[in-house]
Amino acid sequence: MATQYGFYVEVEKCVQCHACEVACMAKNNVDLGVRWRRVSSIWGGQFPNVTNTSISLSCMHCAKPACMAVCPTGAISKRAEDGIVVVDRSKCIGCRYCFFACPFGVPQYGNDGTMQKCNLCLDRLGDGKEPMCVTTCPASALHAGPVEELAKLASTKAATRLAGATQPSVLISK
Amino acid sequence: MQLQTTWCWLVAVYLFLGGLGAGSFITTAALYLATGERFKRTVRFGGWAGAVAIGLGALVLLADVGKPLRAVVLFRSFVNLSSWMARGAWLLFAAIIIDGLFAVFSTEVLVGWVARVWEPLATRRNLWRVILGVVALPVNLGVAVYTGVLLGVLPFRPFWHSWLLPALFTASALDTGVGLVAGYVAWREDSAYVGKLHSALEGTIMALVAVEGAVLTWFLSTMQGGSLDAARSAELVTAGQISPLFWVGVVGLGLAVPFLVALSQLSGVAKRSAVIVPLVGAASCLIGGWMLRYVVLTAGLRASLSSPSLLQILAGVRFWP
Repeated sequence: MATQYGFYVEVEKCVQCHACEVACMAKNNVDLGVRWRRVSSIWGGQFPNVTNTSISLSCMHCAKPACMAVCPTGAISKRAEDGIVVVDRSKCIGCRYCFFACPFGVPQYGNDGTMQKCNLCLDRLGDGKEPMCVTTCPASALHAGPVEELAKLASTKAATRLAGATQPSVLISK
Repeated sequence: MQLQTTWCWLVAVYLFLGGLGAGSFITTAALYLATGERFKRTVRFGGWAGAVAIGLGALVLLADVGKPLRAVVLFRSFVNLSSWMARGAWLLFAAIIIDGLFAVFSTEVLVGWVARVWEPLATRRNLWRVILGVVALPVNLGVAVYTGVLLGVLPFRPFWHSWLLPALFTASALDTGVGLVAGYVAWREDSAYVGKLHSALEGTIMALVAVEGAVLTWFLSTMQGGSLDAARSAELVTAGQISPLFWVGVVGLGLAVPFLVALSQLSGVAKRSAVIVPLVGAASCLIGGWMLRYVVLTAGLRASLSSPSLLQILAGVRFWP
């Protein structure tokens, strides 16, 4: 199987500080209001036994990206060498069809009208560094790399790969 | 600056205009192929209505995208033909050309111009129109169906993800198309056979309203019995925030009024000389058609944006020890 890069999120470590989001915005110079990475708050249980869990997610770099399938211009592609889903913004016409196809609402549109999203900090990966969100996370809740390596890392805990028809490349600790 | 991630009302206008243009052209082409030169005015009007409505729809769609000037270069921007948006763009392009040519050959002044350029092209105009009409029928039907398929193929938008949506939009496209042509016939057609045509169109409207009503009921009841998100959207439509638009706009203006107007015309309750009645019926039908696109679009958006789709994906993952 070809190498597939992705993320591993240790949810119990996340303190919901949003540093990953801010680091991502600063590193990738995204427009105000555009979020490549999002920290979500998930509420569970019933009063008075209520739980609140936070999880930091971005593009899932799915094995079968729904966005890529519907893109009319072919601007979205999946890199053969690492499975990272990338968008060629010079081809994108900003029709937002990919936003409606993505089950996670990942595609974002900035001031120039074209689609933008997480590319796993391709430039940093090329320099042998980790994505900015991973480097920044004060709790070390985020990890990035080949999914098999992430699975090994996660093997000390009960972790599971996100389920879904598009086969997201994201592992979550249980 | 407001960053836009969802589709706005412009897309509803486009879905409506695409359906309206396709529906009125299908009506016209069928009329021309069946009756030939008998209803010149109506054929000319319907040809232009098809080309102009679909063309306007395409412009509205362009106005909604982030990079209109990039999108308009079809052969560069719509290259992924497994995408329904790309397929649809080419269908629209073909329909505008074919409908437009049909309309040109149906307009005396323009045929005169064509004759000046190349005489044989103009003298065989009726043959061209027959050929264009036959070719245009599947292309325009494709446009009507495609407006629903565009939304229907998206697997993670439960309120849209059903083959019943293209069926519903196609029924509405035919309904609004026949409605528009019927309105024109009542207003302007001066052929000796206008009475027969008028009755035939009104009868067709009644049948199409019945079909659309049945498909709409089927669609909503399927959604109500579907997934949580689909049921929530259906409830939003029938009993929630947008239910006034649905009951007054879609059911009232789009189905009930055109049906009653057609009934009044056929039964002779309304005087044939009172042109205003069929015109009101046509206008009401068009407003209802637009409302249908708007309601379906809005209900699908709302549900997915407010629903915990992430939670669904994460189902089975325990976050708390």
